[in-house]
Amino acid sequence: MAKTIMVVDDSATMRLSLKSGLELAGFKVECAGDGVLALNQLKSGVKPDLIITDINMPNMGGLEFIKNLRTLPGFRFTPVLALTTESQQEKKDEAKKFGATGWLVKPITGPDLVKVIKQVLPGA
Amino acid sequence: MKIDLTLPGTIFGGSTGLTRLLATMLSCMIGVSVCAYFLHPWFHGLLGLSYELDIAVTGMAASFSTCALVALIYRKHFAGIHDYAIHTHQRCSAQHISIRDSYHQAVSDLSQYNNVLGSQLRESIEQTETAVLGIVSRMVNIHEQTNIQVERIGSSSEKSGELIAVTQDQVRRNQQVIQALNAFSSSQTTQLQDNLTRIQNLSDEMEQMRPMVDAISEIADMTNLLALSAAIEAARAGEAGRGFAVVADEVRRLSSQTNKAASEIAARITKVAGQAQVETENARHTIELNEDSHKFTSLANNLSSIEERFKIASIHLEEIISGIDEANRIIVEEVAIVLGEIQFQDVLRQRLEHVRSGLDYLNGFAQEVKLWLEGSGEVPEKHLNEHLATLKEKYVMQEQRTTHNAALGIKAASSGSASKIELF
Repeated sequence: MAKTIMVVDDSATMRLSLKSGLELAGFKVECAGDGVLALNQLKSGVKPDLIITDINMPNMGGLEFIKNLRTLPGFRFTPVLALTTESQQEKKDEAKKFGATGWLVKPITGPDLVKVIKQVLPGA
Repeated sequence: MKIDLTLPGTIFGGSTGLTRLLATMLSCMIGVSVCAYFLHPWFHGLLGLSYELDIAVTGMAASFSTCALVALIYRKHFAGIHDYAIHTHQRCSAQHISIRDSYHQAVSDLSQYNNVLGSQLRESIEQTETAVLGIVSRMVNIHEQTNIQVERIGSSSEKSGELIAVTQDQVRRNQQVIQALNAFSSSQTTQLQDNLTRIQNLSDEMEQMRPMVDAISEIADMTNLLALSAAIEAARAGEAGRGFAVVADEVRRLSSQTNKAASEIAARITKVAGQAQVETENARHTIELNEDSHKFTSLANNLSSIEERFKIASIHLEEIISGIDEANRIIVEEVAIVLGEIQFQDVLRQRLEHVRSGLDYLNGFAQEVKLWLEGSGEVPEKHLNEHLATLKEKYVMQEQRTTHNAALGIKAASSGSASKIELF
């Protein structure tokens, strides 16, 4: 059964790029435009096997989203990859502290992303 | 520039001082007037001027005296005014210089500010060009692979067409062979049936011989019995040989019958043998019709040839399918990479948003300067130069900081190429 990945990014281009690339690789993809929308989807029953999130977003950024995600039942151990242009070490450390699984810098090609996903998602 | 109009009042001791000044001037005027009143006859007698001229000169002398007196009394204060004028001139010059320097600084900062924003834009353009060229290159590659696929499929189609044409030609040729083989097969069948009929007849004939054989056997038995009886009779009577003669007659009769049966059997056997000979001749004749067997060989050869061509075509098609699979794999991979490369748009968007933020600040700064120069605003709190540091703090990408430093000629410590992928 295909694994489900949630993509959280305020850029429509990024959502399109990631959704198309991941579906080409055989994954099922759900999208959200910021942390608030993503949390709403998760609370309403969407159950992704892995989450890819941007850091700098309006309403709720990626760091706060990860922090809130870990408090939701059933998502404590869901792998979360931060995909961002952010290069500050402090932000990276904060993401790690809040429970992120990995830190990826944009832009990232489809094959590279799939390779990382297969490393963090068993059975992908 | 503001000129301080209260300064003269201050020099003279404020409003009280000004009152005193006026009082002093009035006193001097009165004093001079009194002097002129008393000294006028002496002047008139000394100079001998006309009445009007005399009044003018007297007035002029009185005014001059008054001014001289006031100036003398307030000589220190006038020196203050002189100092004030110098001070004001210096202040105006200083302000002028300050304005000039600030303006010069603003223009200089503007140049640098624009340099930074311009560099960010240039880098963004270069990044865009690189990304677009990359995407176009991959699309060209995909197009080439697609063309190769089309050629392969075309080649496969062409080969298939050739094979079909050859096969159809072979099939047409083989039709004649097949027709001949069918005719041959039919004739073979008919002949076989005839042979079978004949063989059946032979068998029937043989069946008919069996009762004869039984008769012969019976006769033989009876002959034995008669012979035995004859022997007994012959032994019993000497002259009574008559009985023997009867026996002998009977034996002869039996022998005759036996001969007759034997003749019939012989005739039947001869007949059967003749028929068998005929069948043998027919079979030989059939075998001799071997020219039709060549058609089997020809057909077999044609089928082998077709089979060989199909094998070659199969190998060719396998190669084509393998090539198509490989090309499809490449196309999918290239498309996946292209989908990733369009992410450059998001990176570019962020860089341009920072540039826009810088331009917004620049616009605000220009408005402040305009108001200040018009005299309805204050000096801008921050120089443009200082805002560059604020801009730099808002950068998220290392490339932005590198471009910023390069535009300002700052040699920053190399941060090294950070890994794009890091798993915690």
